[in-house]
Amino acid sequence: MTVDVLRVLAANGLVLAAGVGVLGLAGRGLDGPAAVALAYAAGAAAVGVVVPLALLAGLPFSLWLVGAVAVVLLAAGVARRRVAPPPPALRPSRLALVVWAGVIAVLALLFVDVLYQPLWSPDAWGIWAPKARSIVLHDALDAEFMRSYPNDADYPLLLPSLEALAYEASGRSTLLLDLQHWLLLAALPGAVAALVRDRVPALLVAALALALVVAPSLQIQAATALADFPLAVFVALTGLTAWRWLELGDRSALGLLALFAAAALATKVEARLFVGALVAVAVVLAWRSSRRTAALTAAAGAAAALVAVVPWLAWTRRHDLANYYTGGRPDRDGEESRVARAGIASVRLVAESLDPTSWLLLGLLGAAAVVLGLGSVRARRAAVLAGATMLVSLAGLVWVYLNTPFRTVDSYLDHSARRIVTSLVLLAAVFAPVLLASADEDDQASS
Amino acid sequence: MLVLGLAAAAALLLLAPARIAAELGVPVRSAVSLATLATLATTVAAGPFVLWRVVEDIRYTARLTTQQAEEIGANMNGLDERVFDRIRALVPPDATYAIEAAPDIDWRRREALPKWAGFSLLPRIRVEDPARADWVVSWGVPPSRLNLEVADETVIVAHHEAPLWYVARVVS
Repeated sequence: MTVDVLRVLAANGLVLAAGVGVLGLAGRGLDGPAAVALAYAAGAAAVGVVVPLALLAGLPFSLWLVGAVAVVLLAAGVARRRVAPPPPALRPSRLALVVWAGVIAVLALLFVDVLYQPLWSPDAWGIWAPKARSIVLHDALDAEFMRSYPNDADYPLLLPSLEALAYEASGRSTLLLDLQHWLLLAALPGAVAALVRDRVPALLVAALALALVVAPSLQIQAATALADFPLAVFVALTGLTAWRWLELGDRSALGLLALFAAAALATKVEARLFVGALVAVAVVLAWRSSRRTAALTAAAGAAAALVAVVPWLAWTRRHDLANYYTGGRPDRDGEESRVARAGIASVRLVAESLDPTSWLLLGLLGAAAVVLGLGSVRARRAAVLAGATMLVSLAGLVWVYLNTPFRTVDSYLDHSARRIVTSLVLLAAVFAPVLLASADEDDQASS
Repeated sequence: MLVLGLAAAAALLLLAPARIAAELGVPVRSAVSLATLATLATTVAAGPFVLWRVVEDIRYTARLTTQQAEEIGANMNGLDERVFDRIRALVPPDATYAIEAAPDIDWRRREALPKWAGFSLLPRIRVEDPARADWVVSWGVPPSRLNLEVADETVIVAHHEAPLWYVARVVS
């Protein structure tokens, strides 16, 4: 197994190389471990968006294909050479370094966990892993195979593409697919730190990082190899890059915003709701101060959709692929009224988002920070960006549950609510330090 | 573990607020200081229990053989992976197949069957309509009862009490 693990990690070196290139293209350099983590997340996003496009163009999947993507992006990033000086990070304290050591220790334990964790979740072996295997074994996208999964035939391909990388690199074993999820979990705290460390005290960033890797629901979702976790990572990073672009005028963040938005859209269908809400709110906020910023934000969102949604949608429509919800399956009559369904779904989604047994303090902290931020001059725009995105997304999810084809909404919520709120909880959580630090600056300025 | 975590969190809440605020360079009652303290305290409180659960998880999964780990989806849903080994030996890798189960088989198994087959039998591709398939795999129902003309029928006995499995080539 050790050799297989090393081969998967080496293959992910290609993902990291792609990410280094992406950061270079965006005008950011590698200035420490946090930037390496951001580079890995950007590489996973880039590979996960580009490989499906190559498959749609008829190219067969191979490690050579991933290598070619990495080489092209790395070369382009190096060729750009106009790397802006890194934003000065707030000084890390000794205590912050101790907390980061805790983060690394927890990640090391979770690494051992995923090495032995089999694919036991029905959604892992029933939806995502078969598509990863098919991409490798059929040497291409096979519409007939996709059609054999009528409940999820048109689910996007970012996760199967990344899992195909692990499957091929490990000598076609399905036992290390969850290593891809662990790598994203390992990158998440550093990527968040890289995006907020010039505005947020180091100890608060470290505390959030520790909470992220200890939160039971994030650990479980990463270990069970479901798509909700990578989706949440990309949605959260889309949110933070949108904040950097709008609030700090960070030009390097605009490209990353488009990339992470595209990655989210290429991961799961509900990203159209989350990313759509985020980009729409960002455009409205930008419009009030700068038409140009608003136009560029809208263009980034449109570019993400153009790359990650349109080609896939065209292919699935051409091959008549759908899913359980859009496939015209007969709607079973519900037992509850629509009003009752909306009430049940709303309460359950909010309760799941705040549940400390799933998220520790992440959901509550995010919600409190948004409320606090709305009352602060410096934090208000960021609070509106995060808060309005979450409210619109929650309303959209309630609408989905309202129209569920299941007889009772409870059974559907039991199966999905905890996972589907992951993106919103993570988005709120990564905004919390930004909002709290800005609100504190307000207080200190006024006192 | 829970007691250990709670004790550590209590110690943090009692002893660390001033230190944390000093490290952050903000007043003790500022939002940043309180949020940092609360986040650290809850994480420290839950940490030992959460990580103990992970260790217990590893103690279980590390004992699984490679074969048990690969077949866990089948085993958890009452499907016998040895049957799928036989099916792989009978149905060529480039063939398509349809899969059917008798209605009296437990609905959980019937629901899991096509998904597990789709995963386990790759690169063979499952099709919904048996008449369009190269092969038909049926559980508890002979292919002759599926209104299909078949050949090369093989019966697989998974377990002396379990329904029989049938694998047959569809004659078009």
